Amino acid sequence: MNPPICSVRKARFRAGMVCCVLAIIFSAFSYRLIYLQVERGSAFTALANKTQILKQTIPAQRGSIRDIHGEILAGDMPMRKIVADGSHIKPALFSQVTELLANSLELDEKALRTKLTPERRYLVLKRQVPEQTAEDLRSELRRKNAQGIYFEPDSTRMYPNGSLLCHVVGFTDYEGHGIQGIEKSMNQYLEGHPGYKYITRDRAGTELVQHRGLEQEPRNGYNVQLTIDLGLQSIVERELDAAVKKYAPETATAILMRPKTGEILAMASRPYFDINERSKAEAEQMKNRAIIDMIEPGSTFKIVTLSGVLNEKLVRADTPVYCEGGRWEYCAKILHDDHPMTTSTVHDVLVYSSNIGAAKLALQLGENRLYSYIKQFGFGERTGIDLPGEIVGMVHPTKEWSKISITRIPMGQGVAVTPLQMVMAMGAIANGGKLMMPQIIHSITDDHDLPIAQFPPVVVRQAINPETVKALIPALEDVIRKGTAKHGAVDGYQVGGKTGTAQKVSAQGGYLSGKYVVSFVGFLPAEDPEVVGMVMLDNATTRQGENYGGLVAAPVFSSIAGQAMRYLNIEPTLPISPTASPSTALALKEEHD
Amino acid sequence: MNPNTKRHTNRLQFAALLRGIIVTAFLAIAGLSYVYLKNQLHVSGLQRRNLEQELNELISENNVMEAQISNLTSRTALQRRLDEGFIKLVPITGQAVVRLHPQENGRWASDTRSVGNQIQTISHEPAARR
Repeated sequence: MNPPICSVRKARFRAGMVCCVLAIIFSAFSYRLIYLQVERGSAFTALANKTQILKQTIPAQRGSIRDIHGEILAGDMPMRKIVADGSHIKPALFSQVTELLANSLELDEKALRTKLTPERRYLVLKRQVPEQTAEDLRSELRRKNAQGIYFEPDSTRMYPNGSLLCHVVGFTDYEGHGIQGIEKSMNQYLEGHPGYKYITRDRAGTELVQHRGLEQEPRNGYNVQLTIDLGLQSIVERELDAAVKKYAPETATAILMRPKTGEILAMASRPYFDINERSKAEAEQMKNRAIIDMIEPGSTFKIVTLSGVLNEKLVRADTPVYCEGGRWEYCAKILHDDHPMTTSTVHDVLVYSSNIGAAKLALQLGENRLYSYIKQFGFGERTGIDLPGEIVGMVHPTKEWSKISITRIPMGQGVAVTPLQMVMAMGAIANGGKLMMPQIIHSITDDHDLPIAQFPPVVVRQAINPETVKALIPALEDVIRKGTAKHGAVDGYQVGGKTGTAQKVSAQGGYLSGKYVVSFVGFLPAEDPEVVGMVMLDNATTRQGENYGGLVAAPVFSSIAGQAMRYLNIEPTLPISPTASPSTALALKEEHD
Repeated sequence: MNPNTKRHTNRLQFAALLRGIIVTAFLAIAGLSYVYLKNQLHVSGLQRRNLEQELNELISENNVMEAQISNLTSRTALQRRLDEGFIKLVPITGQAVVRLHPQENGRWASDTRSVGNQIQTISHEPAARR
């Protein structure tokens, strides 16, 4: 029997209603889905990304600073930065975790509990934590099954040689940016570019590697190789320390340079500091006096005047100069010589360091030409060394000179130079008249030791003619042989050089009585100079009448230079005396004392 | 039997059933594979993360070791050990240095040793006391 027609209609109507209701429900869901996915999609995606996706920085390693033989002077020591995500720490383990953190990282537990709340998603607990401490902490956290503590890579700068070469190497600040020395001047090369990666984390904070996003590898900093030879540096510092111990000067400086290339082989200043403990150092200890101390050079400056008159062919080395018996009045001012002479020669003016002779030669040269030669030797301008804070010194233009300036400047008064400028000037004489730019950076390499940049020697200018140098060098040799710097001799080698004894300038004007800056600048072997060196001591404590460059600074130079020759394996050009040792000159001086 | 009854009998349609089973199996396998592969991806990700962590730890350890070697072999550290007497070094005096100059005329090249030359043997045994 067939069902009645009305029943069929009712059934169809009911089915239609159900379908409609279902369609409405599904439409509502669909609308909601579309609304959430399309309308609010980007907002929810951003919200999800905010909680799940994290941009993790991959720090770049800072490049190392090395000496010429590759010995590390500054490098990075890997450390850890401990950070916490408060939302990932289980409340049940909170007190245990804070206690563990406080004990391991030496933090105040009470303060830690206050800071480490579930709302704090990123809290740096401690930076520069040693790897071993971090590893112990990680193991302990794993044992407790605690989450929310993360170990990010970090580093600290280490200086294996401590105080050796401290003024040149410099140091970085807390953020790892160079703030002194090579660390500052070469910061752009030493600093690398940090990388990054976008990571997705699950609810527990564990990274979902399969959803890792964009990744950029870091570019480590370049390594900087210096021209400094740490072997020579340690010789220089040892001898400088001995001199400081003996003479207790306020400051002391020593430099060794290769005249043919301008490469700085060693550079030391006293007082000094340990770079690893720089927070304890005073500002005075941090000064690189070779480039930032301005001193009146004294008689070492006579090389400029004599170079000028010889270069201009106004005189020859054997031209007589009347030295007035050691006392000369010029413009109502008296000028004295320590070694009084009547008639001398240009050669002997340098050998016996005659102030009067130098003044008369300067008068012959004239103000403008003297000024021009001072500039030719690089005084009054930066040498261009790659170290921060170098000063220009002080060379007044001729229009600012007084009437007696022409007689005082030749003996190194009324001008101020840095020790490095003085070394470079003597280096020009030792290098056939070519003034070189001091070079302290040898090369830059990447972290695979592939060269990035090399620094060839730079000739600044031809300061004087080679013929002038030929006339000048015998005089500089005689300064050691029979002149004012007998204690500057080095057994087995012919040395050329010049002493300087300058009265200290008072901050209030004028000169300080009984206080001197003594120096010696020389080169060897004189036949073919390999090394130019300078030793300078400010206000050395000596017996009355012994505070001279030839008696204080020259023996230190001799001691340094003798050992340097042995170290560099430079063959002696003269017979070695049977009892000679590298520090003969200093030993002889001690005996004499 | 009424022929209409026979007409309304539901006969098993094997072809359709097989098709259904295959489609279902395919879908099931595809679904399970998807889940399996997803899990594998997750497991591989975890392995990768652990390996990366291990590698980083090794690199860090290596860097720490290198830094320690640099510290311990630095000139200052060696000088300190020398001063403390841990290293015994005797300075070479100037007289102890002998410089050899090979002659330009090639003395060594011309003075070749003949086989008949007497060869002095060097004994490493301690010499008998006399």
